[in-house]
Amino acid sequence: MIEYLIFAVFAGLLLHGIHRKAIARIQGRPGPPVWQEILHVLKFSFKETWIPWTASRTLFVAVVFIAIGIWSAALVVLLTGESLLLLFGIYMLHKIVEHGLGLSSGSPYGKFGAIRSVMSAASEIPLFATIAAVYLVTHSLMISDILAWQTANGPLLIAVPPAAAALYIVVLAKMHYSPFAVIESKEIVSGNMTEHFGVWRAGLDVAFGLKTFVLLYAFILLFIGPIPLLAAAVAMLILLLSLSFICATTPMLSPFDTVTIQIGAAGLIVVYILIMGAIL
Amino acid sequence: MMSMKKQNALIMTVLAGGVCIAASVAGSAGLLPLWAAAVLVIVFFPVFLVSLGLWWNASEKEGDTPFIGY
Amino acid sequence: MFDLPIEGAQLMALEFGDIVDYFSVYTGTLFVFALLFTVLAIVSLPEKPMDIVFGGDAYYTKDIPLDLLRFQRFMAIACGLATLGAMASGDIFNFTLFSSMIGITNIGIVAAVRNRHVLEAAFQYGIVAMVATVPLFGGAAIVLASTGTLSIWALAGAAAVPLLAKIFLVLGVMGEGMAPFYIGKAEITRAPGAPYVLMIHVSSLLLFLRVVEIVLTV
Repeated sequence: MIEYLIFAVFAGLLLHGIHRKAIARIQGRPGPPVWQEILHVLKFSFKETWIPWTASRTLFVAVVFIAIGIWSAALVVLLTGESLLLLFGIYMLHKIVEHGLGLSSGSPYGKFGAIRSVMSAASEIPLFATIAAVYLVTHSLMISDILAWQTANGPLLIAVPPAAAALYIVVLAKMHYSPFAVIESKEIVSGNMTEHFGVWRAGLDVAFGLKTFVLLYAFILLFIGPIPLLAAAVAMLILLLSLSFICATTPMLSPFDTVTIQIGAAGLIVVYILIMGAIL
Repeated sequence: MMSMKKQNALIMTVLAGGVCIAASVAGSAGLLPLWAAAVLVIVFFPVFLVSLGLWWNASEKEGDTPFIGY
Repeated sequence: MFDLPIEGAQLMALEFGDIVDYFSVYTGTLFVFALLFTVLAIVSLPEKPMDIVFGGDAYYTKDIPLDLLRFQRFMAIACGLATLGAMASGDIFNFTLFSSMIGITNIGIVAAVRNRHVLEAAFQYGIVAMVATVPLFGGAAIVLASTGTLSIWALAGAAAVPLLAKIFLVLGVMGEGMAPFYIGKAEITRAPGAPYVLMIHVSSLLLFLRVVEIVLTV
């Protein structure tokens, strides 16, 4: 199990590096090498580390552990084919981590990031719509059952494309440099992560690498189905490049526009589900 | 005192890493139910990572006097 | 009820007549999280919030007075206990009761903060939470009236609960603090006392996760 985790951490960080490189190339810059994010984690973990005097000490440290823990758990959920609802829960708990990161430091920038993270809780609603649509079609929320359904009936991407679009928005909302990433936008320094430096930041980067890997892999598993490892890696790369393209060409939205777009997307999918439910 | 800190971090790293490896080996060999192995790995993996970082950045010499002006 | 492919295997079930309190992999995980953050609220001291004066170099730190800290911590622990109850309950009425208790304690956590913005937001949020108790308890009442039981265990998979009751339950929980009513809460989180203010967010997210499980199960 630990071997999967370590693989996922490195793969996720590499995906972050590719993301940065792709954004840079699209914007006509040379960009950092693709392994830069792995080097970043090593660099941060060698920096001198302490807890800021203004911070709520226990919470400040605990959120780093919780961040790594929940995304490790998410990877285990995916690998063992547990309930999709559990993955949904972990995604929601990530919101609490973001919130706790910002609040615990006592820094005003962190606090702004935390408040924005409460407002952007709208990004969870498309995910709920995805789950509802998948449940309507496959009559199960166990990932193993969903995979079995796809082996029998073909990819869910073809059966329920709007649900895939909703999950795509959810994944996009959690990418670095995404138009929805208001909680870490640069006008509030690094938002909720501003005061987490050194080893704490290295731990967070590991958690976020895991998160990117899990979310991309979950998208492939849920909407394309069980495919060989190499094909899954290629599919994840293509998915990531499409996300990078959006991140590179779209400016950061304002917090209110973020909420409007995400709730709007969720609303469209709810309408779709109601129509589909009426037909089925 | 500084070297104590380094030693404690090393002990934590080794312990947590040991639990992670033992749990995943025992889990895949069937000695431990899979869920128990998963819980152990999920709990001890963050501990391992953070204490690894704290171990290799813990300094053994006294630092500079920080600037406490303004 | 655990032949339903929704929330993973059964971990534990405790019978009280027809009401069965149970843990599945899903609700068990949620319970552990509620416990974790309650313990964090108990053991961690609050932060010292920094305020910067924009447009200058000035900044100052605030200290949270001890009596405010004690009250906030008490309310945060009460909120944690209500969340634990809502995660473990196998009865729709108990669940709605714990939900409204979470709504009340959420206001309590910030009620003693002397900041106009926070108090105003808490007041508005309080009104929404109070109004939301109508569909919340209404949903539970419709469940009882149409099926004759409130036990999630007995109702699981029977598809006996009318859609209206489910919509009411979800609406009620949304009113206790989920999107789109959480906008009032965004201002509440200006209040100092990170571990306690975090509890507001934890409780309402976990509550929403639980109601999703209930609505899909019954």
